[in-house]
Amino acid sequence: MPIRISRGTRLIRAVTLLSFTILLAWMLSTRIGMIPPLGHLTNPWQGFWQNMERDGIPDLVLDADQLRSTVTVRYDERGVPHIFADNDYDLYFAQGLVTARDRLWQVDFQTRAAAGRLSEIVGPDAIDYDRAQRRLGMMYGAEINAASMGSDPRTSLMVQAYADGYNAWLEQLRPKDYPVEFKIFDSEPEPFSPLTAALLLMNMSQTLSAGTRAHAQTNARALLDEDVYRLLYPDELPWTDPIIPPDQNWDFDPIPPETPNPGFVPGIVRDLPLPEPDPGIGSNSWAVDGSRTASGYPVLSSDPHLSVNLPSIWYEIQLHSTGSSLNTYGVSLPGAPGVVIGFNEHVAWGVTNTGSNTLDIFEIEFRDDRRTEYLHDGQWKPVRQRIENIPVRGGEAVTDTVLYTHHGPITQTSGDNVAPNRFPAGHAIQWVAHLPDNDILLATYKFNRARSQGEFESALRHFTNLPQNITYADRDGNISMGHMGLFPVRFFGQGSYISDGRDPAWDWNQFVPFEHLPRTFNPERGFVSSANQAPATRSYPYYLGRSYYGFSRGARINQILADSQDITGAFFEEMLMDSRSLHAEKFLPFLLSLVDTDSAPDESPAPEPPSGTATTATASHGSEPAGSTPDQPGLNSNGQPDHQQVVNTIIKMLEEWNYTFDVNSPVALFYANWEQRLLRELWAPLMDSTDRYIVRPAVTTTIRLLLDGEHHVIPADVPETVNRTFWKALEEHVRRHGPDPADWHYGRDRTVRVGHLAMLPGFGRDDFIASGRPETINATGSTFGPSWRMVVELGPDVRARGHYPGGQTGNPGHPGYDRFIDDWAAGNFYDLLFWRSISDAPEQTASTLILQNGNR
Amino acid sequence: MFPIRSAIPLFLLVLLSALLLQLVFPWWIVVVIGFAAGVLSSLPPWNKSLIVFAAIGLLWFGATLFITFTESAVLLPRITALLQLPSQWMVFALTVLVGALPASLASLGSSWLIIR
Repeated sequence: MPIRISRGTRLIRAVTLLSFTILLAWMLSTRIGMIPPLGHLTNPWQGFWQNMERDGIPDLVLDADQLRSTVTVRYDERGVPHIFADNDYDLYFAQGLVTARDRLWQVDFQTRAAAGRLSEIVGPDAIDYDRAQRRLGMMYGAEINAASMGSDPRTSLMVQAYADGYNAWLEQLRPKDYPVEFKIFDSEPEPFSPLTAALLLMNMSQTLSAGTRAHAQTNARALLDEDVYRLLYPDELPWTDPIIPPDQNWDFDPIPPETPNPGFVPGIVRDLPLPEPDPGIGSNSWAVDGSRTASGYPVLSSDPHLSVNLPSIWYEIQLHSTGSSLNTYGVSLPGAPGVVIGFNEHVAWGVTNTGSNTLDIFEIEFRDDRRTEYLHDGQWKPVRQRIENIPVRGGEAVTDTVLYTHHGPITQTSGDNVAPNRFPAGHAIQWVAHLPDNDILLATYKFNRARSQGEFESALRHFTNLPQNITYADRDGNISMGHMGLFPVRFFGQGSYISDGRDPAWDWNQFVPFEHLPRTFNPERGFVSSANQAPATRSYPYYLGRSYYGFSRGARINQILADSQDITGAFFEEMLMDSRSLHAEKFLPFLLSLVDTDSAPDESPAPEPPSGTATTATASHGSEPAGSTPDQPGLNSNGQPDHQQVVNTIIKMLEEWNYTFDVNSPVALFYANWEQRLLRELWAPLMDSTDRYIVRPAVTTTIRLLLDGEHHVIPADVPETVNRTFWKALEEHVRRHGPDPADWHYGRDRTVRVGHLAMLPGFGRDDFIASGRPETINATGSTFGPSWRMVVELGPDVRARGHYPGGQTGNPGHPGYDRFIDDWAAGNFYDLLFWRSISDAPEQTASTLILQNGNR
Repeated sequence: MFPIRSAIPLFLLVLLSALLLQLVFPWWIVVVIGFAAGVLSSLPPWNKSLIVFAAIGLLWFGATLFITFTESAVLLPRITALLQLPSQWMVFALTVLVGALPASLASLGSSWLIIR
C-alpha cells in the first residue's frame, strides 16, 4: 500500500539520493590516496579484466610510415623476440616497439624514478625522493647523455628509431589496453624520447656507480687511532685474488698524480646519507680459453647481480640486420637500444661492476650564507643554480634550487631548508655519470657488431662513464678481461675519503689513458675472471679505490678454474650454481674451537615443544639427561625437546658441513644466522660508541683479525661473544624451525622474494626455494641475486644457454610473467635460440609480428 | 514503447544498452543508464531499482566470467592481494557491486524524482 508522502519530501528524498549516487560514482572514479579508482579498475570493459591474457602471443601485423622496409619479428616459445630487418633504422624501430609491447609500464616507471618525477604519480609522499634524485643530478646527467647520443650519427639513429618504434606501439593503444599498473596508479604512459633512453642509462649508473663510502671512512678514520684504523679498515682486503693476475707487468709510464696541499682535514660529517654501495650489487664473469675446454674453443660466463624484481631488469632479444651484418643475442635494458650482455657469431662478452671510486664527495667552502660563491684554487668562483620543477599530483608543484659547483651538484638531501642559522659546509659530488662524451651506447653498438678482438678493442674505447669490468672471448681463441671506464688519475687515497673542494689537486684533472687501464689478454693460466674484487695488486701504478668486494667469489672461481680441464658449458652452469662459502670455510673451524657446549646460559628457555603442550619448566640447563628416545630425535623420554641433543647434533652437523648453502642443507641457515648475529655483536661496541655514520669493518677483515689472533682491536670479548651468539642463534633457530634437524631445510626456511618494481602487493613472487648466499658464486640473497645467467660456448657454431628470474612479458595478467623463476632458482638453463637467418628453424617460431610500411 | 510497464523488457533494455554503451563510454555510463531506466519505466521504484541491479550485475558478472575462462586467471590472486580482499571470489563480488549498486541507486533516485 503506497504511503502518502508529500511532494516536497519526495523531491528532497530523490535529490538526496541522486546526490549521494553522484558522489559515489565520483569516488569510484577517482584515486583516493593510493586506493585506485575502483569503478575504472573493476570495469570489465576497460579495467584490469582487460589485462587478463591467455598464454602465448597473438600474431600481428602493424603498419608504420617511418619504416624503410618490412621487419619480421619471430617470437620463440619463451616469448623472446628475434628481430629480422635489413637496415638499422627498422631494426631499432622494431626493438623499441617490441619492448613497448612487453614492458611499457616498466620503462615508464623506471625513467620517471630516475628523473625524480614520481610525485606526479604518487603524490606528496614522493617529494623527498624526487628531490634527492634531482640533487644527485640525474636529469642533469641525462641531458648530457642525450646530447652525447645525438652527436654521433649511429647512436642518434639508434635512439631515434627506438623512440619511433616505442611510440608507434603506444599510439595504437587505447586506455583499456594500458598495462594494469597504469590503471592502478590512475596514470597514463608517456611518449619516448632520446632523453628517456638517457634516463634509463642514468638509472643503471645510479645502481652501479653512485655508491660511495667516503663519508663513512672519513668518520671512521677520525674516530680511531691510526694503527687501529689500518687494522679495521685496511686498504686491501685479505686473501684477495685480484682480477688481473699478480704476475702482470705494467709496461707504460704512468701519469703522475697531483700532490694535494697537506693539512686538509675533512670536517666531520654527521649525517650525510648518500647512497652506500649496495652489498648485493656485484656480479661474476669469467672465461676460459681453448687450452682448458673440451671443444678447444673458449667458453664464457656472465651473471650480473642486481635486485631481482618483476618485471625483470633484463629483456632477452635477438637483433639481426642484413644491412649491417649484425646478428647478436643477449639481454637488453628495456628503454635502451642494443644488446648489453650477450654474444654474436664471433665474440661474447660479460660485465661486472668495478667497485673502484666513481663518485667523490667534496667539502665546499662558501663565501657566505648566500652561497653564491665558493672557494677554489684561491679564488671565489660562482655557484650555478639549476631550478628543478617537481610536479605533484593533487598538489602544488615544488621548486627546488640545486646548487652546482664545477665538481658537480650539492647533494644536501631534502628536509632541509638552506639553513639560516648555521653555515653548513655543503658537500658537492663529482660523479663519473656526469662526465661529457658519454659513449656507452656507441660502445654497445660496436660490441654487438664486433667480429674480432681488434673490433672489440675499438668498441671498448667508448666504454667511458659507466665503469665496468668487461670479460671477452672470441672464436679465434682469445680471451681477455679489462677494468674499463674513465678513472681520474688519483693520488693514494683520493676519493676514498672526503675531498677538499678548494684545492685543485683534488679535481679530476686527468684520466687514466685507455692503454694504461688494468687489462689482461690470453693469460698463461688460461682463464680470466672477475667478481668485483680489487682489479690489481699494488704494483699497478694508479690508485683506483678501496671499496672492493672480498675474496670469496673471485677466489672460489679461480680455485675451480685453475683445477679444471675439458670444460664444457654444462660445467659452467654447475659453477654458476655453486654455493660453497669461503667465508664459512675459513671462519667456522675457528668458531667451533671456541664454542663451549657446557656453557649454555642459565636463562635460556627450553625450546617449545612442537605439539604445543604447555611446558612446565621455563629454564633448563644444557645438562638434561641424555635419555632421548631413539624414535623421536630431538626429544627426550618425557617428550620434551632435548636441548643437549639438539646442541650435539648441530655441532656435529657443523663439523661435517661442506660449507655449501644448498637448499637441502639442514645446518646452513643456522650458520648464516649465527654468523650474522656474531658480526653484529662483535662490532656493536664500536658502532654504538659514536653517533657519526660509520660502517662495520668488512667480514673478511673480521675473519682475518680473529684468525690472526688480533683480538685486541675487536671491541668485544671474543670467546664470550662467540658463545653468547651461538646460544641465542640456537634458541631462535629451534623456536622458528623446530627441534628436529630433519625438519631443517635451508631452501624452505629462508626467505627469497622477487618483488614488484613498484612494490605492489601480490604482483611479485614471494617465497620460493633457492640455494646460495651473497658471498658464494650463486649469490642469491633475499632480494638480490644473479639477475641473468649466461653461458656461451664459442666456436664455428656458437651455442648459449641462460635464464633470469622473471618472464619476457611484463603483464602480471599473463601466465608468462614469472614463468622463468622456478627454473632459475633450480639452476635449469634454457637454450638460447640464436638463429642465423630469417628462415632458420621455422618450427621454433611460436608467433610472428610483421611491421611494414603500407606505402612501399 | 515508453514508459516500460513490465519487468523483462526493462531488464533486457538495461542489459543491452549497457553492453553496447560500455564499449564506448567509461564505467559510469551504467549510472546514466540506471537514471534513464528510472525515468523511462513506470514500474514501482524499488522494483525498477532491483531490475537495474540485476541487469547490470548479471552483465558485469557474465563479462568477468567470460574473460576469466577465455583468457587466464593469473591476475586474480594478484588483484586479490593488492586490494586486500579475503578471497578471489570477492574480486567478482566487488566488481558486480561497483557496477550494479550506483546504477540501481540512480534508478531509484530518478524514480522518486518523477513520481507525481
